[in-house]
Formats: sequence, C-alpha cells, structure tokens
Amino acid sequence: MEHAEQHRQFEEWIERHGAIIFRVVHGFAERDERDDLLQEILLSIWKAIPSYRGEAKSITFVYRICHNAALLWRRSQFNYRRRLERFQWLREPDEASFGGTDHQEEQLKSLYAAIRQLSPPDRSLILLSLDGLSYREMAELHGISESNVGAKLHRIKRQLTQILRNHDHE
Amino acid sequence: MNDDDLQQIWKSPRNEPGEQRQRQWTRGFIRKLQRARRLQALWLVWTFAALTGISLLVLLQVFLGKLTPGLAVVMGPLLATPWAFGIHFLRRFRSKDSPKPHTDLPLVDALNVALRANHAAQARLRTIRLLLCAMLPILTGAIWQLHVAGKVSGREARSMAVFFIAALTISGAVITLRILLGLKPQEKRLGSLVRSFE
Repeated sequence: MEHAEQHRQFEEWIERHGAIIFRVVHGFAERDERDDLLQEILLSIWKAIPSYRGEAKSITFVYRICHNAALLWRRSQFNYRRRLERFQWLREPDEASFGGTDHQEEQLKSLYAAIRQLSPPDRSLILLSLDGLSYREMAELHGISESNVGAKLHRIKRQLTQILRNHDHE
Repeated sequence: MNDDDLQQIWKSPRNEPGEQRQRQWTRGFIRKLQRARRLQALWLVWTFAALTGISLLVLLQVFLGKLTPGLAVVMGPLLATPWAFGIHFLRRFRSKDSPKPHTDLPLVDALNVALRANHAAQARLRTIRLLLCAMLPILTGAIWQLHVAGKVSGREARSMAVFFIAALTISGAVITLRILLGLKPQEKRLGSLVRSFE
C-alpha cells in the first residue's frame, strides 16, 4: 500500500472512529497512562491499515484493533517515561478532558473509574455494550458465544452498579 | 444510575474527543512517525557505511599480509557480530509498518497467539543461551590450539579468552534477564487473561 493512501485512510478512520479510541483509552487507562495507551492504539491502527481488505466494516476492524491493543497493552515504566517525552503533544488535558465541571461530567468520571475496576476482558465487553453493539457483534469480537456474552454482561452490569452505588455512598 | 441515564451520559458529546483533538492526534502522530523513520534511516545508513569501511580495511590488511593469522581469525567473529546486529536492525526497520499477526483476530484468539509467541520467544532465547554455553569450550579450545601452534602469544591468548568469556557471559546474562523480567511476567499476565475468557 502506498504511504499516501495509508496516511489518508488513517486520517479518515481517526476522524470517523475517534470516539471509539477515546472511550477505550479512558476505559482502560488511568489519567497518567492515557498518552501511552493512545499512542499504542494509534500505532496499531497505522500498522493494521495495509491488512484491511474491506471484508468487515471499518468500524468493526477499528473496534478489534483498539480492544486488542488495550488488552495487550502493558505500561512499562521505561517505555512510559520515554514515550511521555517523545509524545508530549498527545497529552490528554487531564480531568478537563470531558469539558465543563457539572454533574454529568462527574457521572462520566465515576463511570469510567468504575469500568477500570473491572477485569480487562469485562471492561472491553461493557465498553462495547455501552457503544450499542449487538450480542452477535460482541461475540464475534471476543471470540465467544452469544449466550456467553449475555451471561457475562448480566454479571458485569450488576458488578458495575454495585461499584457505582458504593462510590455514591462514599 | 439506570440504563437510560447511562446511555444518555455515554452518548453525550462530552464522551467524544472533538474534531480539534482528533486532528491533533493525526497530525502529531504522523509527524512523529516520519521523524522517527528519518532518524532510524540515517542511523542505518551511517552504521552500514562505517561497517563496510571497516570490513574493507580489514580485508585489505589481510590481502596485504599485514595481519598475523591469529588476528585475522579473531577479526572474523569480531566483525560478524556488528554485521549481524546491523542486519537485524535493518530487518526490523523494513518490517516496522507490517501489522502484528493478531491485530484483527477475535480477542481470545489474539491473546492465544500472543501467548504462543511468548512461548516461542522464550524457547528461542533458551536455545541461543545454550548455544552460547556450547561456544565457551569450543572457543577456549580454539584459542588454546592457536597458542599451541604458535600463532598467538600467551598474552594474546589470555586477552582473547577474557574478551570472549566476558562477551558470552554478558550475552547470557542479558538473555536471562529478558526472560525473567520481560517474557515470564508477560506470560503470566497473558495466561490469566486467556483464563478469564474461559
């Protein structure tokens, strides 16, 4: 694939699917680690573009790459510091990242904090579910059966509600 | 928070990066990527130019008969090592933009592929470590033979032995650290992730 074509595709995907990347980054990484995960996801997308054959929808492909990268991502202190210096421009504007300071923003922060308390595969599943993917799509992305997705989501939602309830009481 | 509240918050514009930030991601990423590639390309050109120059000089010295046979034998592995590293970095540079084999697989399959790759990497490193251990008596024997045949003096033989033993020991230690601090913890983490899918 030509470099220019890869560049164009990358730009188009980031523009169209930026929200997916944003949510995965916030769902998997704490504030200080987000730049590192974001960089990892952008790099995975860049590298995966030449292998995209157009058989699946681009959104499914991007979901797969983002969730794969997030699951396999592990911050190493050395890489983190190095990348932080090299990729300073990527820094998320910390807690102001959701804009404003009202009640909805607080709820969003609490929700992400609760999601990050789940196990990584559960985080991935609840993020997909909140994005409105069907059981079939989630089953394909995770490589498990639809009934398994249903059972897991039921348990995850109960767990998430409990975490949020505990957070409200504190 | 009920399901409707959740959806309302989740779908709100606050839960999206916004056009400006997306553009910043793209521009910044491409700029840094291109800069990194340029620097790597320059480094490779410089390294291969230097290696070629040094190798030609050594060959010239050998043809002119200005190197003792002992030194000529030692120069072989001494030059082969940086060439091997250079070729390794060149291959990495060329394959930099190729996707990882598990990029677009279902998550559970991707984790299994990553786990198998981890096992393969560990096996590969153990084999290399074993070969390094096997090299030790072979090199010692070779140096001894050179000394017995009168090709190198006792002092030269000792220097060569110290150099090769140090190089092999350091290489073995680096491999062991890579397994213990890198691959083993990764194997544990991947294993637990795979189990959590079951």
